[in-house]
Amino acid sequence: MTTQVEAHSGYKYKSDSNRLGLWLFIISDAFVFGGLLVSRFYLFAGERPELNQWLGVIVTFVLLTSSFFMYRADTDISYGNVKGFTRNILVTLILGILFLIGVVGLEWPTAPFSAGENAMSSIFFTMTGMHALHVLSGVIFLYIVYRNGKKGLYSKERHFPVEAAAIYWHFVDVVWVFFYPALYLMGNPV
Amino acid sequence: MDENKKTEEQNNGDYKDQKNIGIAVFLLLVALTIGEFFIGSIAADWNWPLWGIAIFKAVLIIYYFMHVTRLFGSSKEEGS
Repeated sequence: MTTQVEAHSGYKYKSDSNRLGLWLFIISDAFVFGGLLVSRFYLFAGERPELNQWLGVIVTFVLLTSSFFMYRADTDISYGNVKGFTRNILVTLILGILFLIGVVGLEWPTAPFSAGENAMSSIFFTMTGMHALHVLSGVIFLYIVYRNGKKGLYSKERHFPVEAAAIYWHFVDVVWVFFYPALYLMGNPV
Repeated sequence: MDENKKTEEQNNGDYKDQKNIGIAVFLLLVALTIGEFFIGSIAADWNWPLWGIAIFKAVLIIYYFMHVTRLFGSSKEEGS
């Protein structure tokens, strides 16, 4: 009985339970983005907005690179390299901010329509806006993890918050993996 | 060799392997994105290859970066 109680109160058990909860959240959130993707093809199947192609591919590379540095941060803390972890998570955070600047600061003002002008503009701003909000919350999450990491709160054995931040950040990247071709590449530009 | 008696050298080797996997996956993702960009530029109506590439990229990220196998307890303890 005592062994059972100890097993259920251990850090690994808690991390496993938290991981399952996080994945359930990720799956439910994926349905929201899936709905937006379906709406995009329902509203303008063979067409796409005339967007800045170079800006689209650059922000995509920025987000992919941020995912790579997040992976390195996660790996570093898993092997006890705290210095490498803080350095890599800081790079991830900066790249996340650059992505936001690229989409909200550069793409939105130069888009060939304004929000609410027609169905295409509505779905474009809803998709990119919803995704940008997730990136913003991810950046806040990364900053909290970075601050806690600097305070020495994570170690090789106890670092679930880092793993959670990494899973969330990679999920945001996965969403963009589908949004980028759907908004920038598929269909004839109108 | 017994898993519990892993030497520090082996641990360092695992660490390097994990980092190398990250680099390989990242380079593959970059190559696929460049491929996507050119397919989109050449044939705007050619959606299925773009869907295929997007799904493949998502699988790579979910499997290697998000460590989905940890959910099923099939991955070994990290850093141990």
